Amino acid sequence: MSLFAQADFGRIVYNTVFFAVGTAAVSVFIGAAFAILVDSRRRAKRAISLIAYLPYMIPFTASALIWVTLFNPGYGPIDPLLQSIGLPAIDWLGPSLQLYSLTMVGVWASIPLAFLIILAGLSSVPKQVKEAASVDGMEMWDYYSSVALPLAKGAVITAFLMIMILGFGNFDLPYILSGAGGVPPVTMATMVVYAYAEMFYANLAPQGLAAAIFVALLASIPGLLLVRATVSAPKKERRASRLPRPSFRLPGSRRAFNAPFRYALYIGCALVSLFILFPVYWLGLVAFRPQSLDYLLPPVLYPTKIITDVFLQTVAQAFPEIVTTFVISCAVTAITIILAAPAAYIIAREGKRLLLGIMIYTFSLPSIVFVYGIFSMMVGLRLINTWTALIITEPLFTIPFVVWTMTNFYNSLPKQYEEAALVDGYSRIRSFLSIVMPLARPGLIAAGMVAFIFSWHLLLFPLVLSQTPFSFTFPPVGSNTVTTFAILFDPDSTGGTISNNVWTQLASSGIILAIPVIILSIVAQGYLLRGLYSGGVKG
Amino acid sequence: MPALSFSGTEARASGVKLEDITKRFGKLTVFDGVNLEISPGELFSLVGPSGSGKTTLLRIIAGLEVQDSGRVYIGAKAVDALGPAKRNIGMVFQDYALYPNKTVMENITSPLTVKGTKKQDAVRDAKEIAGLLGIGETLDRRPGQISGGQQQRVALARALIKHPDVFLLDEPFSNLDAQLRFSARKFLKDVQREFGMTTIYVTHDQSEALSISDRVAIMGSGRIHQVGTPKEIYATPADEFTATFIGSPPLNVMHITISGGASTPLSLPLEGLADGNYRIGVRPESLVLGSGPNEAVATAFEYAGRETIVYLGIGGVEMRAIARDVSGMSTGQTVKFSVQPSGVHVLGKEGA
Ligand SMILES: Nc1ncnc2c1ncn2[C@@H]1O[C@H](COP(=O)(O)OP(=O)(O)OP(=O)(O)O)[C@@H](O)[C@H]1O
Ligand SMILES: [Mg+2]
Repeated sequence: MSLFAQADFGRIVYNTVFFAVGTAAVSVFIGAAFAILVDSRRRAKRAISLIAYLPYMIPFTASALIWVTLFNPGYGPIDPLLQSIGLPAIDWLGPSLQLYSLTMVGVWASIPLAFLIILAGLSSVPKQVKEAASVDGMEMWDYYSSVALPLAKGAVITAFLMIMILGFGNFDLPYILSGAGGVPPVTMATMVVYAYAEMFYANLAPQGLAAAIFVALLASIPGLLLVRATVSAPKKERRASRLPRPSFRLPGSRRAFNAPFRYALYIGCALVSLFILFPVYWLGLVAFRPQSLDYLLPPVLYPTKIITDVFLQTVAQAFPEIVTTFVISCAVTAITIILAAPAAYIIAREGKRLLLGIMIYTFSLPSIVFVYGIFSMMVGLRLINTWTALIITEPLFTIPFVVWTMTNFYNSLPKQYEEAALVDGYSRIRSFLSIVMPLARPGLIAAGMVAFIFSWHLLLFPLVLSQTPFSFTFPPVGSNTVTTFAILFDPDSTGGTISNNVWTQLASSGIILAIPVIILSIVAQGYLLRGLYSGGVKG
Repeated sequence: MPALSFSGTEARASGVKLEDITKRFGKLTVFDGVNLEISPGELFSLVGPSGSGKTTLLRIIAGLEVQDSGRVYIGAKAVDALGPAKRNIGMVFQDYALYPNKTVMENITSPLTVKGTKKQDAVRDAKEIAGLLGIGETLDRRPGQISGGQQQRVALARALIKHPDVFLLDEPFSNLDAQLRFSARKFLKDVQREFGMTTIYVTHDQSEALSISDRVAIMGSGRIHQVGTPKEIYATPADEFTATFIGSPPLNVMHITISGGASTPLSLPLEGLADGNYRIGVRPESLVLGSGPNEAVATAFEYAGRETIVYLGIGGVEMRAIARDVSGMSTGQTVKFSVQPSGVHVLGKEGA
């Protein structure tokens, strides 16, 4: 196969691995810091959580677009800020730095997942153990280094593997940051973007497929590790049968670490908070001000004049896409829940570990692997550019994750209720519908939200399967989604819209993308946290 | 039980004093001005029904919970501003709260290593105390690999190793089976004697409290009803709550009318009471069956090993009595009995 003969092949593999592993390592580190901070505090838990969780509300597409504006050499506010304090401007997306910039954005977007999973791990330490530690005189460093983090090791590993998997498969960030279309620069192209360009630009489908399979193999490494960590026999039994560890390895006194650790944690988290908050702030700022204010030097960093007409105009313009995405997301959510909830129930109650392993493994496969096959199939079925194509495709990706999450949720439900129902003479089906489902409602809501958000975020498939905005004609045609709408305002993208207010519209469409997720997250934050807690971690 | 000795143990027992403690959880007021004084070196129990605030009070002493007002003294010192680690307390939690990822040795030494004690010293102390408590064999295992009774001893060792001034235990034996609980109780008592530290023991089992404690406080919904030695509590309950809470089977409570020195429906050895209606408590164990001024119908028998609980119906009232020997009795039969004066408590006068 000519793929391996490509001169750039080695570089692309390097980019892919660097991006996935770098993103996972740094975001797990930062996520752990925030999780420790929240876990150790009595007050302001919610506010700090909200900061660490904020990027989760911003779809990848929107976050990539924000960062495109921040990084833009002529326009972005970062360089003038650096220059004003005497530092040189940085060519963020230039050949030598773009891979690091990409990874930085990856980290920004992945902090929430790491934070949620690790926090769940830390909170699973029994309250009494935590109190015993404080009676014993343990301070922050003592407790987290010698008790809580070792106990939450599984959560840390899960977070690391999950983010690495998502990094291998991530299409949106490298695609948009490398110019949204055309041939990606070799200095930042990851395997997924490269495969996409080969398939859909260069007309080299076999080569693209080879690249897709290669990245699938890469992602299989963390994928299989995740399967092993999740599905393997419960650890307790195994540990008990092992011979006791013979030596006393007492932790030496590390008392000196407590104070520096606390300071470093607070200062570090404060700085990272700025890193997390600023892009979101910038998005809101730019969306609601006249574009003329964007070009002033030094950059205007606070709201001076607020306008809403460009935003409203963008909403009007995006109306067909909003309708399309909303309908598709609702349909995908419904299909996902209907299929995944019973499947997860069977897996949980009958201990079908193999099936669970397959689900987790499927989750770990990058969607780029499927895209060409699905594209060809949809061409054959004449479904390109229809809602149907997206509605039947997307559950492929939502179902594995939701089955996994729901399995953990069912596992955490006590069995007695169902057993009582069976004893009372209910049939299996009736006990599932009338006893289990109501109890599982928080899990179902969380799973439904995850499916909805996933579908709302999706970029790759609409990009491939859709061509035009929905038109309210008969028969209806067109299935562009809000993500494909938003990237048209990226000034670097091929075939981008030329608009007088391109930055304002870009920011506005970012907000349109983010709003439903923000609303869902705020309305049902409790559910989402709870669902993801039990979803990402246990097992 | 081998004689306990423990290097460097000078019984540094301190008393504990609570002054006007109030505590609210949101709208729920748990304590509204609790006062309590515990002497140095005594084994003191807090006993009361579920939800009466025992755990909360213990946690306030430990500093794990902060009271809304009032003061906590350990020794002569007010400790309200100090965190749990600074109060020099040892605590045994209901679920033991051992660190699951650490070995038994690491668990026991953790209060020392965290203070910066040298490793050899910590290990030496831990070995010594583990030997005393009979868990010397388990030191390199993890909590998940030892039995419940051993876990409970590890928790004791971890709490004792730093020579606490005050030793706090929250229902430490409730997870053990009946046999083990029995020996654990005795064991705790021996350890406490030997080490001499002030010990506060929380339980909802009144017989456990009476059997091990020097003194007992009876708690009911956030109030302390009575403080006294087990004997005082049993013999002279201060109020109806205490009288009914203590004793197994529980006190028989009934309405008695006295007129002209005679009581109905039961003839009781009551002297010096004016005519009127009274609420009277009679301890089941003070009823002597066989002969006496009273007659009742035996309605049921409950076999309890050494003794049998006999249910007696008299004038529409049901009473429980304890009998050693019930060979001659059967259900429906009339039984004669008398009541010993020590088991009769006047709970209150009724009406005008
Ligand atoms: N953290 C808390 N938040 C709100 N209410 C609480 C909290 N802890 C205890 N309570 C309430 O305070 C009261 C006393 O509780 P506490 O745990 O002290 O009782 P207890 O005597 O130890 O009961 P048990 O024998 O069941 O352990 C109860 O009504 C309980 O519901
Ligand atoms: Mg309690």
